[in-house]
Amino acid sequence: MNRRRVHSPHRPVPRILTDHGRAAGTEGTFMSHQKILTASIQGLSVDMIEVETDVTGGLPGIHLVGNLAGEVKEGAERIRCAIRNSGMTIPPKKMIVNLSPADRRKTGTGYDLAIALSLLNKLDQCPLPFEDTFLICGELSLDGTVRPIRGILPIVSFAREKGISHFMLPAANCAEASLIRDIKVCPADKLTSLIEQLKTGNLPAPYVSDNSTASDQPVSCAIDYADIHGQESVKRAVEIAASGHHNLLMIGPPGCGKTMIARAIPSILPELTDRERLEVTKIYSIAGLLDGEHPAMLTRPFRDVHHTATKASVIGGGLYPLPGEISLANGGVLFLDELAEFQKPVLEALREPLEDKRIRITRSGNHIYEYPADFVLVAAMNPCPCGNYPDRTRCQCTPTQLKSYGQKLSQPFLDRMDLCVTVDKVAYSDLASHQNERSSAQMRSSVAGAHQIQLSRYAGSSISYNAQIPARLLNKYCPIDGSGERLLAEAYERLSLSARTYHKVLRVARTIADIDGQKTISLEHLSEALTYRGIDRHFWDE
Amino acid sequence: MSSHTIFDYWLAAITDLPGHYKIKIKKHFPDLEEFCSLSSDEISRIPWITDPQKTMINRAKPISCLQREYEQMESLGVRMITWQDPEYPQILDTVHDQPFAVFVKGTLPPAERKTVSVVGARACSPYGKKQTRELTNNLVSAGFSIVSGMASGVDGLAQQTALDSGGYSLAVLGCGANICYPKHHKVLYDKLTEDGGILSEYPLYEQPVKYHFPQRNRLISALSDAVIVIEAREKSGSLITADFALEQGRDIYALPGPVDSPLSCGCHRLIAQGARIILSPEQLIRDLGGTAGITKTAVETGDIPGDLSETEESVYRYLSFTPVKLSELELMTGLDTSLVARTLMGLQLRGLVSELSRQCYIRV
Repeated sequence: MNRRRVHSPHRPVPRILTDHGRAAGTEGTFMSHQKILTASIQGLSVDMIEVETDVTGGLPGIHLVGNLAGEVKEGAERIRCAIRNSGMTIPPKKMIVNLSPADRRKTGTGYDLAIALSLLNKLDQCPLPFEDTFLICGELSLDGTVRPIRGILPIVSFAREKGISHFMLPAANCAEASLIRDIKVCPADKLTSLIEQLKTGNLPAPYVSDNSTASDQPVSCAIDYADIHGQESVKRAVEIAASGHHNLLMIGPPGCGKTMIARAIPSILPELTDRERLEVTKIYSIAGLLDGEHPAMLTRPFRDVHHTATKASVIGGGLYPLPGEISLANGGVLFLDELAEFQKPVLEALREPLEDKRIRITRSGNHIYEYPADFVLVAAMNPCPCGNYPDRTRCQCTPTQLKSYGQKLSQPFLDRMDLCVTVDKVAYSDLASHQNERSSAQMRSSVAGAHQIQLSRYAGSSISYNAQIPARLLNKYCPIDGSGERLLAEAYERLSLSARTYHKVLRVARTIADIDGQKTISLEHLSEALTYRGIDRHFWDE
Repeated sequence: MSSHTIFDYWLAAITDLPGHYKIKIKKHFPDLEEFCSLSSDEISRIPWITDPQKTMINRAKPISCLQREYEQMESLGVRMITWQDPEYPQILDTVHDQPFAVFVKGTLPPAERKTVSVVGARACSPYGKKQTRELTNNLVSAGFSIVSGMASGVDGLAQQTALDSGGYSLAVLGCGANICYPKHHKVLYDKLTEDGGILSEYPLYEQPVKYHFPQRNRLISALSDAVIVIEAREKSGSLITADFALEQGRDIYALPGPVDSPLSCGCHRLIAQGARIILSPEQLIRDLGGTAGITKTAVETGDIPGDLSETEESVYRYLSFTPVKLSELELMTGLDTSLVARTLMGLQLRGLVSELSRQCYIRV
């Protein structure tokens, strides 16, 4: 008996389209499966991922493949529920979804929406009327709500660089994504409404930013430097540190105001540049610290780390390494209070990022997570266990105690501190007198001025601030004349400077000259830089 | 050569037994071997040995334990001088509780010269350091020998200064003569062995236990003709030395200091109780019976070098030999902090000002 294949009149002839296809808008003429683009993120590095779906025979089920982490595979269940709760059914077929390239490890839950749309498209239940390439991200909850994910900003930024300018993202992530210019973002709120819109052949209306994240919001800081009396030399050191991005160490007895002075630093930091704002927001996006109200980082971060913090929380880590405090402080200030109480391994782990301005965390399988870590380090510590050194009339510590206290900080770590200032208890009379006091507003304008000068000086080079000048470029950027050379030679002998200190003094003198608005570094600038030079272990020798 | 035996060493090693009792025992038992071999019953029958002392004797280390130390003594550079020895410092005979034997490295103070002890606080101020140096230099120039305890602070500084000026110094230790305490004075210890002397009442390897130090202080004052206290807190070891000096009939000289400094408190009390006040190195030496040689080379307080600029002068004026902080100078001069910092650095580099610690300055 011959059996002839008969075309059922109710079965549409599949049309293979060679272009991305346009939705016909009528039932029965859906496109065949279309590749959908999504993205995976590892640290700050993004990969473009294509979602392919196929339907085959076999036991019914949804199988997700492509080197997926557990939470991605669980997406199969989430998607199934979300689709069902959106009023559609999934036929009992075996469906394979591949996230390619299949060898890249995929983590996170941002693939749900893309996979769902790909499945529905393959099952001819939903068209994808995209004229341009769309990048789709979002997590699905069981009721079909599209939930926001971390890392949207780096993803959108990377995709834009690759030429993709159309995105479909969770509604709550759209404000964050709008930091990138020249893109079109379609918010996706619920799966039901999304699919209804797509079926009518339209896309959701693009997101329009309401510009409430404008950058002219004033910096609000609880403390103003005008409220701090009698600590002018410390304020000066802070001003120099903020201006040139020099690391600062404050030494003083307990209760003399070191913490308060450090916490007031945000009141004098200048605005983030556009590039910096993007970078900082990306890091906070990965860390999951952005929310609907604060979709972008507007001010320079100030991270106050407690001395019981672990190494992983400070430099970054975890199973899928998230940014640590040093990366969250990128572009701003990292404050270590009670420096001597920190665990030694934590301080030692800081040395490399202080040098390289970035941190690389490797995991098995050659996964490298790299985060930037360009921050100003401000640290505060007591001079000795009783807090009174070098006032020998009050200090009760034995020479052995002093020596072991000094050994808590390794020499290489101390070398990273460019400035050192002692903070003293303020006498009552000083609290009352208000002469020569500087306010945050005054200091902020000095710092901003110095930043401007550095911006133009280092435009086009790899460094941004005076503290970053490498030794070989010191002659170029910090030239001094004969009398300056003689001063430094005299100081080298008399104050027993090391070569490292010598270089640091030059950089700090450059910053002081910048604050002064001077092009050349004078003897006065060098003298002041020497006053605030860093310390070494000999500080604790009697 | 030494005329002592291991039994003398054994007796000397009973550290808690007072020296004059040991001498008494030696007088009664010239042949100490006999005494050593007495059983505890026989010892208890001796009427003039009190009960506590009997316990001490019975608890003493047996000879066998001390054999090795005793034999090592020479190789360690230590010699034992008993009270009968001609080398035994005569000055110690004037003291009631004199040691039975002393262990010495190096040489003893030359008999023809007068000795003074210079003692003071371990955590002394820059003022104390300066005065220690100056007074010691003057004393050495006037021919005095310096005795002290080699402790941190004033003691060690006085001894180092004495040796550096080419004088003689003797260190009296609160531990065995072969042990250097404190450890960071090792260089001084070695120099004293060569150019000066080290003396201890304690046997070799005896550790520097706390209660040895008051006892050692009595020897410091015993070995000197006068005791000079540079700085002392209200309760300090230097005051204990002064107490012994009083008992032993030695003169006490105390250096005054800033009235609000805790480190001069003890000295002021001594002066109030009758100790002599030090007004200048010359006056001190005259009082001690020597002839003053050196004239002060340091700048008199109150003198301002003539070649300072106006700003420099206004800053220098507020500096003294007590430390002043940068923040205090800002307030006192009324000048901008940057200007004060720069001026101070200039003064530092000219050698007029020294930085005690970061942003803390004194006149040189």
